[in-house]
Amino acid sequence: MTIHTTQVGQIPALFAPRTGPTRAGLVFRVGRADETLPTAGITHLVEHLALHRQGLADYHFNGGTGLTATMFSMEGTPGDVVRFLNGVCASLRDLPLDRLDIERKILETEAAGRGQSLSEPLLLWRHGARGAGLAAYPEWGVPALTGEQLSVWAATWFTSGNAALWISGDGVPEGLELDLPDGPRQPLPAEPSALPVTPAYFTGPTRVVAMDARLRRSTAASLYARALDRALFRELRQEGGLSYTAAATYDTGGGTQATVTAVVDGLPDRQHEVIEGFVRVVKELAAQPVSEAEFASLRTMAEEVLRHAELDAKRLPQSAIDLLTDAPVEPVEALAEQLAKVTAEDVRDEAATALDTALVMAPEGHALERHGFEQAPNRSRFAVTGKRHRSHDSHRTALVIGPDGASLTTPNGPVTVLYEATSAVVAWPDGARHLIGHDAVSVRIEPALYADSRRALAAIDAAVDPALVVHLPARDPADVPKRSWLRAARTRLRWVRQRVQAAMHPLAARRNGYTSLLLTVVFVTGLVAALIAGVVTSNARVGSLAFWCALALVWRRRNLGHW
Amino acid sequence: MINLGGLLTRATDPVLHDPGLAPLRQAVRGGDWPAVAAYFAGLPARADQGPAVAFVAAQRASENFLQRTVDTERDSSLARTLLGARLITLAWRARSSYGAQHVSRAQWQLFHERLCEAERVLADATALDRGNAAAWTMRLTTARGLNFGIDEGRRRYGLAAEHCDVPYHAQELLLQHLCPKWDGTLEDLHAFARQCLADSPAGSLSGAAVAIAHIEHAFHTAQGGLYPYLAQDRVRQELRDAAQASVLHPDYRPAPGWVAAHTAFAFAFYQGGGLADAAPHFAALGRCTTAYPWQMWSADPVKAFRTARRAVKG
Repeated sequence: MTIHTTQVGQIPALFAPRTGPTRAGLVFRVGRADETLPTAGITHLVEHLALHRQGLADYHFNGGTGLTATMFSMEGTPGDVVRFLNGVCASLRDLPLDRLDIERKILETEAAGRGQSLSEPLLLWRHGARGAGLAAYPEWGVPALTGEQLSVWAATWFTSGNAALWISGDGVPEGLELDLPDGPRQPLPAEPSALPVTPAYFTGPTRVVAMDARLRRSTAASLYARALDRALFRELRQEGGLSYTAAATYDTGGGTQATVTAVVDGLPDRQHEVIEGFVRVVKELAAQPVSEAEFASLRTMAEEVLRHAELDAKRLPQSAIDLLTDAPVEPVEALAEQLAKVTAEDVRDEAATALDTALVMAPEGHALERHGFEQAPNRSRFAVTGKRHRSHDSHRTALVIGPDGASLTTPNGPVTVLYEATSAVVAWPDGARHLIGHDAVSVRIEPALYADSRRALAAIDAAVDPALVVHLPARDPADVPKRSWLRAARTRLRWVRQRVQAAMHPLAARRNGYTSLLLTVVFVTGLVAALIAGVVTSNARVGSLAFWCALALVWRRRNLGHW
Repeated sequence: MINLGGLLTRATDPVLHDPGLAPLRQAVRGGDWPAVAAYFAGLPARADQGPAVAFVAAQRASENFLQRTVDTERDSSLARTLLGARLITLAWRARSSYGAQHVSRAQWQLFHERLCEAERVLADATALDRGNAAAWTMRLTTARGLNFGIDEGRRRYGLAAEHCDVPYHAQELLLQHLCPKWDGTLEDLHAFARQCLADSPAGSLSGAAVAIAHIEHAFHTAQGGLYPYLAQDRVRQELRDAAQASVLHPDYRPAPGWVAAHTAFAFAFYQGGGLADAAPHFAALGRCTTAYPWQMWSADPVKAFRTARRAVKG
């Protein structure tokens, strides 16, 4: 059994024999992680346009846009496969732009019907509003992208140098032309990080506890995912009876990196136990190797997978992505050899790395600091300095517009988006703006809620790159916040009260603060009065009163630490 | 000539203990960040910065200056350490020094809010510079106040100790966490104190950890006052040995925090009736002292200290 490497035209191809109909896929090294927030969805739109002309025939085909790869795949007779792939290539060369508006609508409908996946918040918190983190955002580019932008995108990414083909069946069918524009192989996108420290955690409106960890791709890492899967199922479901789902998976988007993702669920009143159990399992695997018996079962399970009859044909799509991302496409024998060499200690090493790079999503109200996880930042480290705009809604909040960015200062800390680190600015016709920073921290400005907001909005519009602006359609008037004079007045009143309290604070906070002040005033007055009286009357006894007052002041200063 | 400045200073004023802090106080009061940064840059590498950070944190209204600094010094770990420390001081002030059962609900809320803010700011400080021992030291207090548990306290202590030769301030804070009144047990408390003494070079302040452990033990079991516990021969002998190995050792040189160390020994010996043992510590202190542990004994810690000093002098 082996995967044969060959070439179709200029495109590298992988072939593995398989009984039944021919299957094939054309893979490009482009995905959502290559996009930007204002153009999000551009790859998906190109993929849809490329498939359109193939849409009427009666066979199984599909297209899929992932984070780092886009695939067109097909199952049928060799002739069907050849027609489909040649057709896709022809469409990619010359996109059917007359279909653009219809495909936009289809994508919007698709997005409306799609639920949020579990991995999206994890990607968002790990990467921010760039790279793989874009998967968590709507496809904001779809309504506004022009035909020209799409053609340029297709000519840049959907090229013969950036493609790989896989085929399983009787043989490589005749007649494949795969005529694509020339272009270079594109490297994997950089992985931006929004996490200053790992292991980290965040909380969200979720019932599940989920974790993802970044590891180097290896057999030991995949065995760790199996070990985690089994340990979670055993501890949380079978023994604890706390969870229904308790599982872990191992994925790679190509290249040298892999992600281990674990998910456990639990009833709302037992979430604390679920988190404790989850963290205990993850930490135990990192602290000591699994038992010999457990390791033997893990290895047997992995060996069974390698013995699967048509394993090579099944591996083809992933192998094509590996080929595109400079990862080795290894024969099954080499994988079996690697598996034989792995020890329980290797798996423990991977578990330790996983714990070190982990990001955990926990239900709201649960802190993980007690387990050594840092809270992933949902605030900024600083606020910009500049013009302050009071909030009409809260006396403890203000909008600050500086020369280099915008901040909201809130009681829970500042949120700041710097213009140079802005991923997108969402704009509504009513004037509201939503600035989204590279780290996914965002500043929303509702014109009705801030003093002198017109000036703030003008400053923002002048400062941000117009290419970053996402224009959204008008909102339902009921959703647009309105200015309430009553509320604004109440907020102002609270602000004044806070100021007065702050001014009085040093006295109010001190024990006997007012008495203390009174005594000091009495002694100072006594000192001055006695001095004057002593000089005027030339009476030494009155003068000595001044001395006693001064002594009292010094004594009080020495004891209290203040006057 | 009379030193008017000294005459007016309180016995617990850190500037009285270490006149080198005076320029730091001036810099903080004057809102002069470059001078503050220069002061800390001038401290020896791997020295315990805890007392200096705590000193800035005690400066009235310094949070305004530090908050402004955090916004302008965007990548400064030090500015965040100082602001975090100040917020911790404000949090504890909100909670006041009464025991937990006497704290009102509103006070608790304010305490918790400020401590969360401190934790956030200090987390930024350690994210910017993982080797910032002073920030990890301050995070010991937030871990205690926010109930993150003793394991997290020990982890933070480990990180502070990794980047500091004699992390005496961090040791004092972890000792508090290890007390039964917080999350620990008496066994943990004494084990850690002995560990501090064993791990530290001769003549360092860490031996005072043993004294603090005994003082806290005495308060914990104080039904008939502190005397019955602290007067035991075993306790007094251990205190003597710890003092000889630390602040009474020939290699001892005063380091930031020295007043706290001597005060702990002086208090422990005095309350246990060992006036002769207490004498060298009172002599070293002169008129300097710290509020802890006198504040747990008396509402006026300085007065209690003076009474004790007079009794020891005879």
